[in-house]
Amino acid sequence: MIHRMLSTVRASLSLVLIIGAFAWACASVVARHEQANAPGTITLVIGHWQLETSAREAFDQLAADYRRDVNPNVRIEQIVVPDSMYGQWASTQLSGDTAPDLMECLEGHIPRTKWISYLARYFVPLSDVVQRANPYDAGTPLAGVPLAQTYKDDMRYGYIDELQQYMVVPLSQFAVRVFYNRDLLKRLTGRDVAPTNYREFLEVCRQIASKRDEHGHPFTPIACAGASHFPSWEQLMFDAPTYGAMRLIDFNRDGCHTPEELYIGIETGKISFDFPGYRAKFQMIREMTPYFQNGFTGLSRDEAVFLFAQQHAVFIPTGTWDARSLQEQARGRFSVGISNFPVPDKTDPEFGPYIDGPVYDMPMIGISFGVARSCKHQDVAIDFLRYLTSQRGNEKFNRIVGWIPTIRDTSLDPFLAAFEPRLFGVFTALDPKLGAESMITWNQLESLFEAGQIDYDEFAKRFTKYELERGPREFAELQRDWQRDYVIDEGIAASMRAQALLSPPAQANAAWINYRALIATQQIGLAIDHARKAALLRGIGIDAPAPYDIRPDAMQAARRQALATGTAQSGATR
Amino acid sequence: MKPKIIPIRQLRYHWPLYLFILPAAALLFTFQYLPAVTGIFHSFFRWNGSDISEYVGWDNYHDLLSNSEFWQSFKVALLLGTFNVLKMIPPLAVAVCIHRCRSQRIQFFYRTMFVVPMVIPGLVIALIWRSFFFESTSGYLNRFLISTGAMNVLGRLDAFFGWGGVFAAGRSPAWLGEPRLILVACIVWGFPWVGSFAVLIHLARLQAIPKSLYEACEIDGAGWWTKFARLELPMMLSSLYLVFVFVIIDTIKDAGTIIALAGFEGGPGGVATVPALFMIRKAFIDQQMGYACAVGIVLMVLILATQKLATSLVEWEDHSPAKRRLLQLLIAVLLIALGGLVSIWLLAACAAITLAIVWARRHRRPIDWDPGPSTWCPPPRKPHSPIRRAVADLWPRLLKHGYIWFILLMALLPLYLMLIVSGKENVQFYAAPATVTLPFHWENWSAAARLVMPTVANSIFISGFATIITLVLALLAAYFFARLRLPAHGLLWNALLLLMMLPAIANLVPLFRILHDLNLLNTLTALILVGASGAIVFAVFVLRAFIADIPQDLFEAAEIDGASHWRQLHTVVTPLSGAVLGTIAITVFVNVWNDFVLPLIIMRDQARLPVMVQLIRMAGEYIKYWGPMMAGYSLASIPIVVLFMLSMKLFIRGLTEGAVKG
Repeated sequence: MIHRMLSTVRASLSLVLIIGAFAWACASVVARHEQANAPGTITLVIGHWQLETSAREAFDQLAADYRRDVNPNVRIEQIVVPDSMYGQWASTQLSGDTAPDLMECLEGHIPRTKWISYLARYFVPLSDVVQRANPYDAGTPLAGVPLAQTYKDDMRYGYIDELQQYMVVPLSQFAVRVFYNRDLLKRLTGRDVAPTNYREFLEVCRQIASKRDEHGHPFTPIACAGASHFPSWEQLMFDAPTYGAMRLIDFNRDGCHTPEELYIGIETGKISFDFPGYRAKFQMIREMTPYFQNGFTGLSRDEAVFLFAQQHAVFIPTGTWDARSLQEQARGRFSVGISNFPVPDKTDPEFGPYIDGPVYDMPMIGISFGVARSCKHQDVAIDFLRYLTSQRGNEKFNRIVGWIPTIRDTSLDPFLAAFEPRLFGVFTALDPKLGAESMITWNQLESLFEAGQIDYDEFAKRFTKYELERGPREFAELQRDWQRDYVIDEGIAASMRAQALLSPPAQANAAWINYRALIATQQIGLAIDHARKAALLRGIGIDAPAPYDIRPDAMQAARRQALATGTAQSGATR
Repeated sequence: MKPKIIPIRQLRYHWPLYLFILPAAALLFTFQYLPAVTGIFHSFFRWNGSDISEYVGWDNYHDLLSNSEFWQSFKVALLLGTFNVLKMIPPLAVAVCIHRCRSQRIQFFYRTMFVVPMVIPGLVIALIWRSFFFESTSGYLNRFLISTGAMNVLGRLDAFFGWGGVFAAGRSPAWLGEPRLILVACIVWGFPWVGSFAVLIHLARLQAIPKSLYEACEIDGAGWWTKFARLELPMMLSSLYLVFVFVIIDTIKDAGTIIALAGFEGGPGGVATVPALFMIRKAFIDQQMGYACAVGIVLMVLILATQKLATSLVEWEDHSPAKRRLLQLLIAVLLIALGGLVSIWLLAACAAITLAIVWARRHRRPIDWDPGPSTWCPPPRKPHSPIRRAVADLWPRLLKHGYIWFILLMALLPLYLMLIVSGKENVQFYAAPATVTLPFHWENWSAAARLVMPTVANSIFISGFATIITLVLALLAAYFFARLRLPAHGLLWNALLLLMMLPAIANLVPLFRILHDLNLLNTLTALILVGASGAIVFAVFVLRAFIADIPQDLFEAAEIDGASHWRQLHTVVTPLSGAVLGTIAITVFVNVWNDFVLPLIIMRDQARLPVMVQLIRMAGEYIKYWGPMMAGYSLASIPIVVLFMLSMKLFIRGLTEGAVKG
C-alpha cells in the first residue's frame, strides 16, 4: 500500500515538475515577447563583435543616456557575437533580411570585395547624413560643422571609394603595437627595452627561447593567436618587402594595389610568387614564427593573452583594444612596455634590398556601424549614431571602453598616446583575396606553411594553381558585382540629372558638379579601369565584360528604376 | 499485422482517415519536401539567396565535382566515420557487461549512473574537451601526457617516424591549433564514447533475450565469449544495424561537432572540413547558395547510396549470387575510385563489422534452440572445491566490474570537471584545475543563471512544443498507416520512408530561404516547426509498427460499438501506447534541445536564442571566466538530466516494448 502510494507520489511529482518547468518556460517567453513589443516602444538592435565587457557597458551607458536625453521610448538591444563566427552570422542575417538595425562593419571577417557588395546591397548610404551638422554637437566648438568634418581624419574610413558614398560611421581609432613584459625581458635578456631592429629582435627571441622557468618549461618569446594577431604582424612587418610589386601590378596607376590587379598580374604573367619581395616576406615569416606560441595558427585570442598574462611569454602584438585589459592583468605583477614592430630596414643584409622605406602605419578606424536597409526605424538608428559620434558622446563612449576617440578635440587616456600612428611609408602589395573562396584557400595554405607542413615553393605552386583554375570564376563574379552596381548608379545618376535640371539656378551649378563628379569617377573612370583590365585578360582568352556591356534585362531594370526615381525627384522638387 | 486493404468503392466510409495524415503531410511538405525540391531547382542557378539568380545549368555540379576541397572533405568524413564505427564498441561492451550482472539492483545502479553522461548534451562535452582537454598551455591532456612521461615517448616516436616535430619533450602541442593534430582531436574527443542512447538501446535489446536461452547456454557450458557471439550478438543485430546506419549518416551530415571544436574554417589549414561544413561555408559565408544547394544534393545522393550499400552488405546472405557479384563489383569499383588509405580504412572497418554481423547471423540457429544430439556436448568439469570455484569466478567478475567502472569514471570526468570548476575563480582554476578548491564561489552560478536561464526557458519552450506537435501528428499519421490500407497508402508510406533517409542538413540552404519567405527567420516558431517536422518521420515509423501489433480484435470490437476512427485512436491506441509515446517524447525533446546548427544560422536576437547557441557564444569570449562558464554548461545540462531521471523507467519500458523495432 505504502509502496503504491510512494510510486504514485513519485509519478505525480515527476509530472508536476515537468509541467511546472514547461509553464515557467512559457511564461518567461511570453513575458519577454510582451516586453519587447510594448506599445510605443521602438527597439533598436545593434549587432557587433566587441566582446570586451567595457564595450558592452559603453553601449549600455550611451543607450541609457540617449533614452534619458533624447527619446525615452527607444529600447536599445545589443547582440554580441564572437568574432570567430561574426562573418557567417552577419552574412546570414543580411541575406535573410533579419540584419540588426545597426551592424558593425564586416571587413576583416570577409574579403573586402564581398563587403563592398554587401554595403551596396544591404546598407543605407549615409553621405547625406554625414554632410550635415551633428545636432548633438550644439554648444560645443564643433557646432554647425558637418559630421564628417568633426572626425580626426575627415571620416576617410567611412567613405567607400568603390561606391562613392559614405556608408559606415566609425566610433573609435585603433593602432597595433608590440606589448612586452618589461620585467621578464630584463630577467631573461638583461635588456630594459624591446629592440626595434629586426636582427636584434631575433636574437632576443633566441635568448628567451633558450631559457626555462622553475618547472623546466621553456619560455615562449611571442604570444600570438593566428586569426587575431598574425594579420598585424603581416600588415605591419612581414609585408614590408612586398611594396616593390606595386610597380608591376598597379595597372590603373592609382597608387594602390587590389586583389584584382594581383590576379591579372598572375594571369598575364606580369608577376608570380617568385617575385623576390614575396619570397622575402615568407622567408621573414619562416624566421620569425619559430618564436611564436606553439600551434599559434589555430589558437584563439584568449589563449595568447593567457600565455602573456601568466608570464610565460615576453611579447604580444595587439592593439588599443587590449591595452586596458593587459594593464589590469599585469597590475602588481609586472610592468608592460609598448614598442614598434621590428621591421627590417634598408641596412638589413637579407631583406634590405626589398625594403623601400618604413611601413605606413595605417590608423585602424574600428568599430564602424552601418544602417541596414531592412531597419524599420532608420531615422532613429541614424539619430542614435549621431548621438554616439557627438563630441561628448564619442568621448564618453571611448573613455568607458578605453579606446581612442575618433572625433576632434576629445580627451584621451595618456597611456594611449603611444599609439599615435605614423602616417608615412610603404604599404602592402600582396592581397590575393579575390573572393571568399580564395581567402579561405590562402588562409589554409598559409596555415600549412606556418606549421612547417609545406615550404614556400609548394605554397606558391598550390596557390598559383588554385588562382589559375578558380580565379576566373571569382574574377567574373567581381565583374558581375561591378555591373550590378553600375546599374544602380545609372539610377542614381538619372535622379541626380533630374535634380540638376529641376533645381533653381542658385543650386543648379552645385547639382551639376555633383552629377558630373559621379559620372566621371563612378561611371567613366571605373568603366575605363574595367575596360583596361578586360583588355589585359582578353589577350589570354578570359572574357571579362567591357563597360556598357550590360545585359538587356539589366538595362531595362535600370531604366525602370531611373524613371521611378526621376519621377519621384521631380515630384519632390515641384 | 498487415493493414486491411480498402478498395476505392469503400472509400466513402473511410475517407476521414485521410484527415489524419493531412497535418503531418502539410508540415513535412513545407519543411522537408519543399526545401529538397527547391534545393534541386536552385542548384542550377548562380544564386546568392536574395537578388542574384542566374541560370547556369550544370556549372555548379561540374565545378563542385572538380573541386578538390570538396573531395578532401569527404576523405575527412570517411576517416571520422571509420573511427565512429569503431566507437560503437565501448557502448556495446558496456551494455553487455551491465546485462551480465546478476543482481538487478547493480544493473539498475549502473544503468542510472550511465544515464547522466549519456544525456549531457554532446555540445557541452565537445566544448569541455575544447576548453579543458585540448587547451595547449594548461589543458588536461597535455598535463597528463607530460606528467606521465607519455609526451617523451611521443617525442621519440615523432623523431623516429618523422612526424615533423609535433611532439617534443617540454613542448605542449596545440591539439586544435596544429594541422597535423586536429583530426586526432576530432577523433579522440568524447572518450570513452558512451554518449547518446546506444547503451540503453543495446540494454533494451539484451533484456528481451529469454532467460531460458542463457540457462541452456550454461548447461552447454558456453563461455562468456560464446554467449556473446552465438546468443547476444545475433539477437542485437537490429539495434546494431540501427546504430550503425545512424553513425554513417551522422558522420557525413555532422557539422556541429567540427564547428564546436574547430570553428567554421575547419581548423588550421581547413584540415577538419567535412562536407556539411563545406556546404554551410559556401552558403552562409561565400553567399553561393545555389552552389551550396548542389553540394546538398550531392551529399544527399551519396548518403542514400551509402545507406543502400550498408543495407545490402548486412543482408548479404539474402541476395542472389548475381546480386552478390554485382555488389562485389561495386565495392571493387568504389575501392579503386576512392583510393587512398582513408577509404581502405573505412571499408576495412565496414567489412569487419559486416563480417561480424554476417558471422553472427550464420550462427543464429542456436537461438531457435533446437538442441539435437549432435550439437549437445557435456558441460565442462568445474572445480570441485567451492573456494576454487569462487576464485575461478572472481576474475571475470572483477574484469567486468573493473571495465564498467573505468568507462563510467572516464565518462563522468567531464561532468566532475564541469562541477568543480563552476565554483572556482580564474586564479583558483589556474592553480588547481583538477581538484576541489575552497571557497566555492556560488556567485558564479548566479552570474551564469543571468546569462543562461532565459535561454534555458527558450529551449524548454521550443523542445516542449516540438515534442507535443510531433506526438500528436505522428500518432495520427501512424494510425493512418497502420490501421487500413487506403488508396495512395503505399505512395505516401514510401514518400515517408524516403524522408527518413534524406539528410536534413542537405536542405539547410533552401530551408533558410523558405523560412525567410514565410517570415519565420529569427522566431521560435521556426525552430518548433522544423524540429517537429524532422522528428515526425522517425516517430511515425516507430508508432506504426507499434499500432500494427495491437490485436485487430480490439479495433473490430470498437467498430461494432460504432466507434469512429477518432474514437478508436482515443480509446484503443492512446492508452496502450503510453510507454512508446514516452520514449519518443524523450528522444524528440533531447534531439531538439541539442540541435544548434539550425538555430545558429537562423536566430538573431539574444532574447530568443536556445541554450546551445548561447553556450557557443559564451565559449567565444575573449577573456574566459571559467567558473561562470562551467556553471552555465551545468545549467544547460540540468533540465535534460532531470527529465531523464524522472522518466527513465518509462523510457526503458518503451524501448523494450518496441520503440527500437525498426
